[in-house]
Amino acid sequence: MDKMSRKTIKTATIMLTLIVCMLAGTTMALARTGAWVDEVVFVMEEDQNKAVARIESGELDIYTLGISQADLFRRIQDSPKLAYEVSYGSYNELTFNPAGPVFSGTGKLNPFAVPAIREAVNWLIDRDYLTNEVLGGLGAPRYTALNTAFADYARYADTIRQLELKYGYDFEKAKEVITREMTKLGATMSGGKWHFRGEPVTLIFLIRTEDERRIMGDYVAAQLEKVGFVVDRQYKRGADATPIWNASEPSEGKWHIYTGGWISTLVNRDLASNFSFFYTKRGMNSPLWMAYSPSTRFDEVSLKLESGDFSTMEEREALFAEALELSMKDSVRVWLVDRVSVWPRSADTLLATDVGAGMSASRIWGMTVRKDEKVGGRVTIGNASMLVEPWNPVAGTNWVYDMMIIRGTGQQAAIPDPFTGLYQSQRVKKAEVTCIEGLPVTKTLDWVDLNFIDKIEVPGDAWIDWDAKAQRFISVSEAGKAGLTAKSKITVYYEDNLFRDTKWHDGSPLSLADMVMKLVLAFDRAKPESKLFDASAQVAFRSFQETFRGIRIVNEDPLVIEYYTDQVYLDSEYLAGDAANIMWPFYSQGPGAWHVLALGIRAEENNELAFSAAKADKEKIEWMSYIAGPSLAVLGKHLDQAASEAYIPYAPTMGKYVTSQQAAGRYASLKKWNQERKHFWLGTGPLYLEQVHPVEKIAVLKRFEDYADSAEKWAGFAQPKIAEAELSGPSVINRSRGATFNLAVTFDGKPYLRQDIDYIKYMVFDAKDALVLVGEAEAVADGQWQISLSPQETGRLPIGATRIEVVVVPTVVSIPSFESLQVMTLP
Amino acid sequence: MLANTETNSALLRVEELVLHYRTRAGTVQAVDGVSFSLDKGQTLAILGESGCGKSSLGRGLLRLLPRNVKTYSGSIFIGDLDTMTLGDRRYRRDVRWRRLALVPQAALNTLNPVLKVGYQVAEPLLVHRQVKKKSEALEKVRHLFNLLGLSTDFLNRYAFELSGGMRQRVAIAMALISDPDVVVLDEPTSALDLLTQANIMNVLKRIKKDMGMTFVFITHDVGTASELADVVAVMYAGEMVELAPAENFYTDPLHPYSERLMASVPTLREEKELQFIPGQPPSLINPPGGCRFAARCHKRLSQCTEKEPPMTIVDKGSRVKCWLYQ
Amino acid sequence: MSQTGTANAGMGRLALRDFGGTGLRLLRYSLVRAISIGITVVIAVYLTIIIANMGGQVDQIRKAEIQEQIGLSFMNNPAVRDMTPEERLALQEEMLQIEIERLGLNRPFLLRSFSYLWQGLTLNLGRAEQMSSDTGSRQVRLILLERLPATLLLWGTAQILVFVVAILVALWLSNHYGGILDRLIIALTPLSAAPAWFYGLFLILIFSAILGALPYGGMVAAPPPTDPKAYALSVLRHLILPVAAQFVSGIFILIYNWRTFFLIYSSEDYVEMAKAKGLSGHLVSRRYVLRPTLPYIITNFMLMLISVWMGGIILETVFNWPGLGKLLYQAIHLFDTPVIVGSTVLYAYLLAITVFFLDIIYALVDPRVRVGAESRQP
Repeated sequence: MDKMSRKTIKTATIMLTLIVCMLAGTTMALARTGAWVDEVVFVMEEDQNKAVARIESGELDIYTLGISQADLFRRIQDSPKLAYEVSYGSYNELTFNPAGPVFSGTGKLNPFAVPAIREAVNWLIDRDYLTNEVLGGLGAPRYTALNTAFADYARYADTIRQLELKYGYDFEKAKEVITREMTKLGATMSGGKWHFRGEPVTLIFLIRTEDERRIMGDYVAAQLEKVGFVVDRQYKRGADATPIWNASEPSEGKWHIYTGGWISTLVNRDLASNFSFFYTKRGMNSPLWMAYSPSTRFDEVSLKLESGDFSTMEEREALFAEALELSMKDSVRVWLVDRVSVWPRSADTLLATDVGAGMSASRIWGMTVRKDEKVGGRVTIGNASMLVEPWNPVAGTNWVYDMMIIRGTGQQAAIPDPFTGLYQSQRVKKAEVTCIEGLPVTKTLDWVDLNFIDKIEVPGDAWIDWDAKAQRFISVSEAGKAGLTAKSKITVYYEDNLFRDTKWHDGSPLSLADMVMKLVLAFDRAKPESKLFDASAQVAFRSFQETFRGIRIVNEDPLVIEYYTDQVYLDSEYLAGDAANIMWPFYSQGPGAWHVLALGIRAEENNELAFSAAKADKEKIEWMSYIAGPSLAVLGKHLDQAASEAYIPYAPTMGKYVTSQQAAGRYASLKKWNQERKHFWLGTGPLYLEQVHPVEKIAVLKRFEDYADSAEKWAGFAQPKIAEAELSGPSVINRSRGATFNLAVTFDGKPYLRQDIDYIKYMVFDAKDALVLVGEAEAVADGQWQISLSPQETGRLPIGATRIEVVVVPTVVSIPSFESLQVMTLP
Repeated sequence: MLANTETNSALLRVEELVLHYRTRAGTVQAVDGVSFSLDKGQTLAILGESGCGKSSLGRGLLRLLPRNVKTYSGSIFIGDLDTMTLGDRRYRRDVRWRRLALVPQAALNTLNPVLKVGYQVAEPLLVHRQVKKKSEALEKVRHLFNLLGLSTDFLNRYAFELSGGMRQRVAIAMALISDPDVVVLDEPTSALDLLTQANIMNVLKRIKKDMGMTFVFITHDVGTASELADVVAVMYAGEMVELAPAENFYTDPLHPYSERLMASVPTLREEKELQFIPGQPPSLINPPGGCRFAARCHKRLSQCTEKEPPMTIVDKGSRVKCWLYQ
Repeated sequence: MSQTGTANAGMGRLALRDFGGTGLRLLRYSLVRAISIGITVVIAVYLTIIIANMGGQVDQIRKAEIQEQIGLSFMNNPAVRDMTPEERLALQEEMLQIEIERLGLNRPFLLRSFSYLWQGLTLNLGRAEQMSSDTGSRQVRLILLERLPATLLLWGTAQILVFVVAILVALWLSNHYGGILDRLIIALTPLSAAPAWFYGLFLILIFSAILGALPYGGMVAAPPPTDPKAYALSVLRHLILPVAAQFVSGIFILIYNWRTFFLIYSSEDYVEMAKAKGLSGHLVSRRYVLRPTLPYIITNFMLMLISVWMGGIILETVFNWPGLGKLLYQAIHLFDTPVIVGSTVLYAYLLAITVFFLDIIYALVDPRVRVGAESRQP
């Protein structure tokens, strides 16, 4: 061969090799199942500043504490090695004591007994100052009972925006109203201070000290002092404040105002019951709530919203509009800010974060955590606190940091979307939701089909109750409830290869027995005749029984079940999720295989251990832990015993779903697992618990090789697609000619897909902040929308300054985006 | 300026010993050029009032110097050896407690409260390796205790169990244990009652007689000293103003100060009107020029305040520092 | 002469006869002492119980907290949505009662205080009310025991090291009083004004953040090595900085303290006498300065030892060390009475036993001290 061809062959070989390697690499990535990483190590780090320093130095990759300190946030922003996720779940408000106007306990004046004065406080506070100066930008001003980051806010943005403008900072107005009302009460102004019955009016202000509430409280106090009140600032920790503001009789007059704070634990799609909770007696059973006396109409409206007493979204919208207005008039709570929490991570690490409650609440972190875009490797996560209480799936620890680790080891069959809160399918092929006519239920995602009929009858052979003595389910007809109806029926079709593909970490295959066990335990623990009876379980069970109407296994493999309930949600995905999860072996505090739980059942029957803390304390026995402590010896003993007998718990029912051979096989696998790892924790998730060191506060998870799902499955959830909007158009509107504005919507520089946007609402305000026009933008192309105002519409605009505000509501993220544009209207 | 005849046979010979301390107020000239010599078996009594420098002299002899020493010079001959020429380590090893020993003032606190008395007395032997075994040392201690009239029970007792007189005897035992050539006793009886004093003096006399021990006996008590003294020296304001054989001194003190001292001591058989010396001794910091006693002297001459008198040898072997005898 | 001899012999006989009397007196003294110490312990523990619970006020706080938590759990909870408001309130009330009953808050505080006291004194440490041990047990005994080894390892090592080094250096310094080193150490004593955790932060900054040579904290590397030797080495490596922090913070002032103390005792006459007798400086230090002051040193050492197990909350927090200091602080924060009582009782007993035995140790070490006897006048 000549030189040329030799060279060509050489080049071709090199190129071919390269291509093959690339393909192999990509295939590897594509073929990767389960977790991207090989190992996840959890360590404890209590100090936020140290944690950030450790991420910078590469020792940690992620820190699971939402940071709200402005200067630390700036540091994270400034460092090229650091990145962060945000969550929007916590918020602050001012709680008022509504008793009075004169406290029967002290004879002192309480101005906040008058709704008008409470309403006036809205004008007294500059929420922009609080957000920008006090929180350093880590927040958003909040005026109403609705979180600015959640779906309902976006839905009714026009109403809310008007209210926000109406109640914006206006010191003079506040002073005017307060002066008027105080005079009506019989107070007089002397020496710049209000006096009542010869004494200066002193307001007792309980200010929490543990966080930025301290500064916010100081600011509010200063404003109150400017309008003539004397403020007695009492700085207190939570434990010292709660007995005063929540537990003392309001009429005793021990306090006037309190800096309240709340947190959400997930993305909340339905805030309808907020009004009842925050403004009426129905919220909490404490002296303060019992003193709330909203107007009759407000009480009515909030009750309707709470109980879902409407049949269309339009009805809901009307109720909301009224409730919002009335709530501002009532103002027994004045809302201050929505807090933004920042969750730091190293720049090259990714994981899905719940926008409501942050990283520690993320349910799919195990499937999405990844470093350097690599396959494999180790990720080190810092927890602010961990391994504090026992782990058991039934009623173990609900410590939020431990739950994060637990959620890496197992998931539910339907998982809430970290960005929208809607349930996404994990193990379900599809679900059919049927509701009776007249219910305001909607559907958004593809895995759910929704239809309406006029009546749903529960079949006679559906299980509705449990006989703890005979250890078998009671059917609808046996319970004498033939002809029972339900508001919703959900048929869940699980994945075809569910029992072949899904494995527990010790190698045992998932079986129907695991699922039936969950249902059994839900009932059995609440029955007094059972040895596992637990008074604390009764509470949750009773609320479940209120709506539960029956469940039926239609087909065993592939698994199909029917679920009947009177529960109603706005989103059909919630109904489908509830149905899919009810039998799925992920209990309230973790995944549980039936053979693992069998050990605990035996232990609790023998009064050696208890699943719940309440029962453990009552019986003075140990709270069951599957990972450490004195429980392990007891569980080990029961494992040996169970193995020798091939023990099947609840045999009359479970015996139909598992043979003694299978049982023996399960126990053998568990024994091997325990010998190697010294604990009994099993799950079906992409990561398994390899080591746990409670004293040293270290936990090590490793990748489960037999996990069936591709690693790509949830890859799209690594980042919430929060839209960025840009308004452009003419700076002058001619009233007679109409106008067109362009809206560019992007994320990360790329155009936002049309199908990912739910709607875009626009509002046009005049110079006096009065709302003139409302409408929806039209989609032109991906990333491009248009607002077209006809000449009739622009004809209604007064001459002068005009502001156009836009609310962008995507479907893939529940956080709306806002944008505004100032223009001029001329004839 | 030595005069004494048997210079070569003297066991202890001190020449121009100077010991000055540094203090914040100034330099304390505690010992200003003291010279004397002492034969074996003799006892030198050094008399003087408080603050005259006699304790410093005692310590200076053993080189037990404080931290603020400024000047330390002169010669101290033991036999032929001028101990001043030795370095500190050699001195500690060869001289202190081997050839010279000290029974310090206020011996009551000189015993370690947590160690047994017998052990402490034996310590010098053990430290200087003069014996091979501890039992040997304790044997010697026992022997010494017997000599001193102490019950051998006390070997195993602790300091707080002993009375003042016993402790003094233990201190003496501690000084004698390593067979020194000279023992310096600094006010050994001042803190004791009269009866015990008498006891101790008896003990000393016995030791002097039986062992032929050479003592330097420092005291302010003229009467007590007389029991033991062969030679008497009088110190005043840091200087030795008279040095005389005991008989001479007690019958006929030469220096005016000595006269006054003797006159202040009650005698057993004579009728005597006790006299005292008016005034105060001068400060040792910047002592006055001329004779340091001049201000209080009842026989003062005009030149006494101007010039310092030299040490003059008077017949019968006495020496005196006084213009009267020029 | 003979008089003295008789007196001596008489004294010897007196001592022999005394012996039986001494034994009895010793016993009676010990009994009285034990009872008085015991009463003190009981009072101390009971006072702690009262104070830790603010005289019963804590019950109100706890009830209010529980109520708030229950209310929060109901907010936006779809499970309770379909219940009528009355049903919901009734449910909240029921949950409240379950918790109150579990924690025993339905019994009056005064009664509970006595049962806490009795349980504490009989070392029946019982179960914690809200806390669990790291491995999940409620037993107070396990809660304390689990963290004990880690605490002792860190604090015991550091404190004993500081103590021993301080005494040795101080002894040496008292002999070389006024020298350069002496003055240097005195000049450095203000360094002890800063607590150990302060130095800890700096050490972490220098050695972990900047140099990356030593770990940021924790007791062992994550994940921990399985080989015991490697594990021990890892723990040792993690011990370096916290022990160093305590050392730097405590050593100078302790040296200064002891040096001044030894100086005072070095100026005793018998020390001078010992030097005069020809004993070397080293021997004088040991036999004439150290030995007479042994009771004082032993007291300090023992008191230091028995408080080592309590750890220190801030240092443990700074170094992420799983110690008892943080745990006890948490217990106070949560008003978890059994844990607070458990730790107080433990300390009270350790202290009582130490005080009791110190008396005996003094007698052994210092012949001047005769337990129960009046001091003899010379």
